[in-house]
Amino acid sequence: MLVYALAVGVIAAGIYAVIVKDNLVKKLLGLGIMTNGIHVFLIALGYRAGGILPIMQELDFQRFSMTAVDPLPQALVLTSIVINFSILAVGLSITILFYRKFGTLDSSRIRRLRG
Amino acid sequence: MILHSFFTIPSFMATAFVIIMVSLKRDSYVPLVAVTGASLALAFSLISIPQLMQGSPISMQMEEWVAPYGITILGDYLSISLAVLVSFIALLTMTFSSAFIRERRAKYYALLSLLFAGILGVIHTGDIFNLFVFTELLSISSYGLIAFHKDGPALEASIKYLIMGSLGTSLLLVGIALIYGLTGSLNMADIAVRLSGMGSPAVAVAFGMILGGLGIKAGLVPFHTLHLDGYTAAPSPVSAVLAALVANTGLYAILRITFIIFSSPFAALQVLLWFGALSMVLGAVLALKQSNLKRMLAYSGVSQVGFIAMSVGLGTSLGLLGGLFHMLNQALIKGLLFFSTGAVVYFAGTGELDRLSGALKSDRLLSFSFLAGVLALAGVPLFNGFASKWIIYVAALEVNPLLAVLAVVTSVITLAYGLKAHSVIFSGNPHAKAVKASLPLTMKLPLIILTALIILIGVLPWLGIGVAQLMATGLDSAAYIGGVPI
Repeated sequence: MLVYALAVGVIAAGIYAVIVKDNLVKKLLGLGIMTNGIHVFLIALGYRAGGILPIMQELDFQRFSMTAVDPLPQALVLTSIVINFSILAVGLSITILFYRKFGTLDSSRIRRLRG
Repeated sequence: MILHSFFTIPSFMATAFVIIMVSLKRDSYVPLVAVTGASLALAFSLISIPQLMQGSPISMQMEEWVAPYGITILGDYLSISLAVLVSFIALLTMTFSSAFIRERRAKYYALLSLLFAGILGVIHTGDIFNLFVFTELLSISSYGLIAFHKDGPALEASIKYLIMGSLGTSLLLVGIALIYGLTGSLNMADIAVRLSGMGSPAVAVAFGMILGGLGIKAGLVPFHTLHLDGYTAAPSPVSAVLAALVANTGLYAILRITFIIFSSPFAALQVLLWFGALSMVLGAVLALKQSNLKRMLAYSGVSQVGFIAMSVGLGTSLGLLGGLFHMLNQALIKGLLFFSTGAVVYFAGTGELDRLSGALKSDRLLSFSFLAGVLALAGVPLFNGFASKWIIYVAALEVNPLLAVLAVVTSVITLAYGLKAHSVIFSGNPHAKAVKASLPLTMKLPLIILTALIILIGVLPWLGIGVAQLMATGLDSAAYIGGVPI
């Protein structure tokens, strides 16, 4: 239970940073923290106390499925990490261009597109 | 059985790859490669229509992994119709862009191809995590495309879109994780079977998160501002794709998940209904006071997505039919209007209405196609918007007369701002120097084709209604579950 509470806390901290902070780099870091919280949540879903690695080393499927942790959330997390890596890369490169253009990282000071 | 229209996804991905390779040698071949790739995708989506005639839905498993474990690709009338629409608009966009985009073409076309691959992936997938992956693919390529001009507004719009969009997709991921925790499955049909009869509050939380995450993609009212900036700052052909296809893809995913997995809960339809109605009215009213042409069209896009959401949210089969029909029509109309705007910007170099006064008085084709788009958008008879909006009015009248009144008023406002923009650009006093040049053929062709289609469906609405009726069968939960061998 504690690990779920931890995951929710991390997700909430990430969302807080994304919404409240004005600095673009902090916002992007917040996104990263939030997705890490989701990853903790996903891994916790597949966890089993005392479980073994989900690698089949002998052909006893019955025993394997009773003792191994759920491998699927791990695969999902791996995919999600790659996706978030690319989002962070795109986000940071746009942020660099943004800084070169405006000379600031403060998103609250740029209000050119209000409407 | 192999579903042919699945190959639209790899063909767009391969196009992106080949474009980068070709651009290393010869940059001028890039648009040709892109148009070829899009034609290939259109052919793949068209040849899967005969497959559907033999029985729908068709499902296939990736790499022969059996159903609840492997990734399911599913084609029914709903997904194949949208696949044809997407590939068709993709072909027109690639054609239109070849004259419109003159610099950094390889990057532009590669990102655009990946965007289409993402849209088609969302349309075809029967696996809820795969849906998330393809949503991210289309999102990341759209962030790049919005920032394409690298000027101030583009960068600001792009970073805003990136942060809010990633927040949305993360919400989607949390929802998916909750669903996996509850059911132990990622296959949409399997989830639907396992969730039926499960009344846990966690289901409602998961559904709320998925709806919120996809709602950000669809651009319904509380989340509309980031779309407005994006549509305004992006190159016009990209705005056409974002308004015509990406918003509809978000709605499509909402519909699939609402109707198939959660078998259309009343509360979800109510949310769609009222947020849809709010978007519809607010979008049109705010469009009226915009001075930038693209921003005006962006607001009108919000309003049209609201129309579709409201109509589906009515919960009647007539409402569903009207919503799906309007989804098709709206994609064609928004494509035409943003292409016309692109042509206007291409000539006049600006999208500000007060500087466009009478700038394009001499261009008959552009004037006519823009007018056709405006009239179709407002739902004037003989244009395709009329038939779908009429169905929506009737469906709304049966449920709540107030909504029907709001819909009619919105259409009148739509006509007002559309005609205002048209009269300013094409018949105002030319205080700006009038442009006397003719459009290149690659820009003319998409305009002519879209105008012809809009009038064709307007004169023969039964064509479109027939397609929409077939599409509505795709939202039948029992048929969908029966189509997947779980």
